[in-house]
Amino acid sequence: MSLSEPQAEPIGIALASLASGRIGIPPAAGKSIAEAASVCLDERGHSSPTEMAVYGDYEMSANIDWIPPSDQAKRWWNDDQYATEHGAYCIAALIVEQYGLEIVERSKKKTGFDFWLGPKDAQGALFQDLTRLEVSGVRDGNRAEIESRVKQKINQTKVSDGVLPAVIVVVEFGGPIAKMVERCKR
Amino acid sequence: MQKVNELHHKAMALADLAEDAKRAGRTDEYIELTREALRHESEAAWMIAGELSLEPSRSVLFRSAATLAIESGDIRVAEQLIAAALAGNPPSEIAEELRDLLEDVYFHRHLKVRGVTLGHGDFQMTLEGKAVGFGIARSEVFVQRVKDFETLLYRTAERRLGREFREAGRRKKGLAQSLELYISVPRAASFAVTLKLGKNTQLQLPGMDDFSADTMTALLDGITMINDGNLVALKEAIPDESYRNNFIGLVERLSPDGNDIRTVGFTAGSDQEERIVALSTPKKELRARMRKVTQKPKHETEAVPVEIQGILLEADAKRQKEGIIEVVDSTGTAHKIAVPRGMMSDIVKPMFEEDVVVVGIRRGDRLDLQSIDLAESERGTD
Repeated sequence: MSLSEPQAEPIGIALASLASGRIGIPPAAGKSIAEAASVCLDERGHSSPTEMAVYGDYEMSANIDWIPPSDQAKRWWNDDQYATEHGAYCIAALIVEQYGLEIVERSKKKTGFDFWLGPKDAQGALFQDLTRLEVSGVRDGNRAEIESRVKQKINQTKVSDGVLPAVIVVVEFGGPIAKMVERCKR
Repeated sequence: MQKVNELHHKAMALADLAEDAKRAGRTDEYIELTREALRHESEAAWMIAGELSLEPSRSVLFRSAATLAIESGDIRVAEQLIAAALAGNPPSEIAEELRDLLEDVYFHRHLKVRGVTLGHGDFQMTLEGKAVGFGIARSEVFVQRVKDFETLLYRTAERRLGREFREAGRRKKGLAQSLELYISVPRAASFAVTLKLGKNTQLQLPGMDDFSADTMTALLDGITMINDGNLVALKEAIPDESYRNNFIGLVERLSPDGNDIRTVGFTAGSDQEERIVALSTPKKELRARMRKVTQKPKHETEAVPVEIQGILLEADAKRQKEGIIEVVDSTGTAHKIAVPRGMMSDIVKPMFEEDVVVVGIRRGDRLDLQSIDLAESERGTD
């Protein structure tokens, strides 16, 4: 199970669609991270729709459709680091969907939640035959910073044996731009 | 397996609610919900504990439960869950994450004071990281932090006494004597010492029984606010900008580098009322977060972030509102940088004539300091 390239370009990413939830994302959590992403895009001076370049193992352009955040939302997400991290989860989840996988499970880990990708009709036991989604967010950086985050994520998951397949997505909100790398395809 | 799925999904839903409560500052609710999530997640994990080949399900569930146990303060439970996970055949990257969690468990265990009675106003400082062994630590990482902590303590005391921020000059003799800091023999934990405050008999504020202990409480409150990223609360607690800049700068210096020192922990209070504060956000990350909050809006186009490395040659704290430093880079160019009040004496001056990295904001000809640190070459590996 790995990513498959979308047929059409640019791919459409509607943040509000996450509010209906996904197999592994409850609607409230989906709405919340979509709001975080909109706060990040708004803070970087973008307006909807926003064009985003996706590069890495797959090169594609995307159009992000989003609703400007309310003042209340901006205040709630005023911790930049927290908002960037959660906004990146949202963008990453919606990008990988375009490539045929969806967040189907979550688990707790030291730095928050761990997301696991699978096909929409995943039926197996918990975490069986799934792919980990490793996400990192940069509020305002450059390609060098994105590359450094990707390298960091690869190193975190790089081990000599028994590796789990993973998709690494680093989202930068200034461009915006995203890099997606697949490691250890099934 | 259906029952395992149900328990896990319930646990994650509760963890979401716990996260919301935490962000809203409802700490008791956060702990309660996290414990409830732990109950579900650990039940799910133990249900498949005997199925050693069911990986990564088995180890991921145990890791997830152990994380919830650490978050809810059930350290012994976390230790048991991690041990159970590692006793199976976890995929190597999950095993690594479990070992990281185990280090957290050990650090929390070391923060629990054993065999030592902390008096009112005493506290324990514990370091953990690569530069720390069992009962031994590289001197510079320890000594610098004790000094910075002592400075933070006196600054907090002066602020609580309503004194104007002292940009230069020594601290008043009476205060220095009454808040004298004593250090115990180090203990073999990660690396732990008890720091004891001299009991103050003269300095009393109305309604406060023990000035030293209350100063310590105010200090730990401030560190907790920075730790939580709650700068609104910090601004309320320390309204004076000089004191606030100074506090943030010193907490940044105390913070771990993320490698040699990964966590700096403080334990204060008695058995009945123990308080643990752990600084675990790496210094660079903490600085970036502080900068974001304190800098002007990003739409201010003329404000350009600047990073300069060079020798700090000149420090001038004579001006009332700000000091000026000069950093000469490798090309010989001298950069004049304005230092906000509160940062010169304790943060900048100790680095005089050292190779430093300065981060600032340039607006036209003016360059304002945001943070300063020793360059890697000057710092050894910390």
